[in-house]
Amino acid sequence: MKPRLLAHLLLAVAGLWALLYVLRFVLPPGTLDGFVSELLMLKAGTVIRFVSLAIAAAFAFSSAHYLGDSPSRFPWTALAIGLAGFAVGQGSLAWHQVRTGETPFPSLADVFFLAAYPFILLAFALAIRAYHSAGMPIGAPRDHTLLGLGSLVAVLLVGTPLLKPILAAPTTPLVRALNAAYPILDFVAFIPIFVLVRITARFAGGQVAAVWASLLTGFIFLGVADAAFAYFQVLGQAALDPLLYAGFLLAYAFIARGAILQYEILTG
Amino acid sequence: MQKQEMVDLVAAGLSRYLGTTMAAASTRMQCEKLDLGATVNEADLEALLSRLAGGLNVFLGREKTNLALDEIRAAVKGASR
Repeated sequence: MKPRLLAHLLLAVAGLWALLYVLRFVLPPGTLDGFVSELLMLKAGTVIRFVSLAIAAAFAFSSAHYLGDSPSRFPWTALAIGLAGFAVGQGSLAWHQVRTGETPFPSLADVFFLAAYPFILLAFALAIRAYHSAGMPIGAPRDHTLLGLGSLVAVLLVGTPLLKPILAAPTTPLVRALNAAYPILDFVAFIPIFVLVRITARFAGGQVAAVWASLLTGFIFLGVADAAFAYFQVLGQAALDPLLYAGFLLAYAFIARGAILQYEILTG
Repeated sequence: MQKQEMVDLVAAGLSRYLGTTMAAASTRMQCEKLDLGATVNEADLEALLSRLAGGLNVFLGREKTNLALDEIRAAVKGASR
């Protein structure tokens, strides 16, 4: 199968399943049960998320390999390690969900998810550095530093009120810490992401832009879904879970698509 | 060959990867650094491609960069016949 076809297929499957989640949320309870049960949605959804992440990690590792002596090899290697961490975490979660139909939290998956974040953040920082080394008119480092600082302020303004109820929630310290850690890490990731969005915009219409547009869309979906997950947990709004699952599905499918497109640039 | 014609061909070859705007801007920027005259020759083309190669390597890797530059070379040489 051609990599591009795989990317389209993955996005189509994830998109369809995300649509089902959204329909489950908006339609009256039980409407979809004759067509697809809630348990099947949970099990298939978690498998799709795992497959997306495994594909993303595999193509990111391959891309790093094909980049050879390019300065982009390091960010792609870091991204691949981070995605592999996500994949192992999601794999452990999927294993539990498929066997029991339940979603444990906290679980072993959280160890891998959290361990992956430093690599993802490192990948973004190294990508920005590598792109500046290309000597192309992508904008001055000073402008990007200012944009990063502006993003930090925006993230603090949005994130602080969001974190307050999470930190004040009457739950165990571990759950509280995890509920806070994911949005914090995602919001920190938003800072280089905004800079990369700005850089990517300068490559509009090219294959390089398509890679990063897809990757960054995925990470933005992930950040929003993680923050919403923590918030919904605090509010005890389990009814909103289908929207979260839709967000995670789209996040991982877009990230996988980005990694596949990068591989295709290098080998196509 | 006229410089503008070479610049257009090189930018066209890069646009698939970098997008039309970045391809044109990068090519123009490197041309300005080389301070090329209105008429260019094969050595000028090689100097330009050599400058672009470093940046392309960041996005495409060495192997794909060489392939892309070979395609551009062929297009420019074909146009100058």
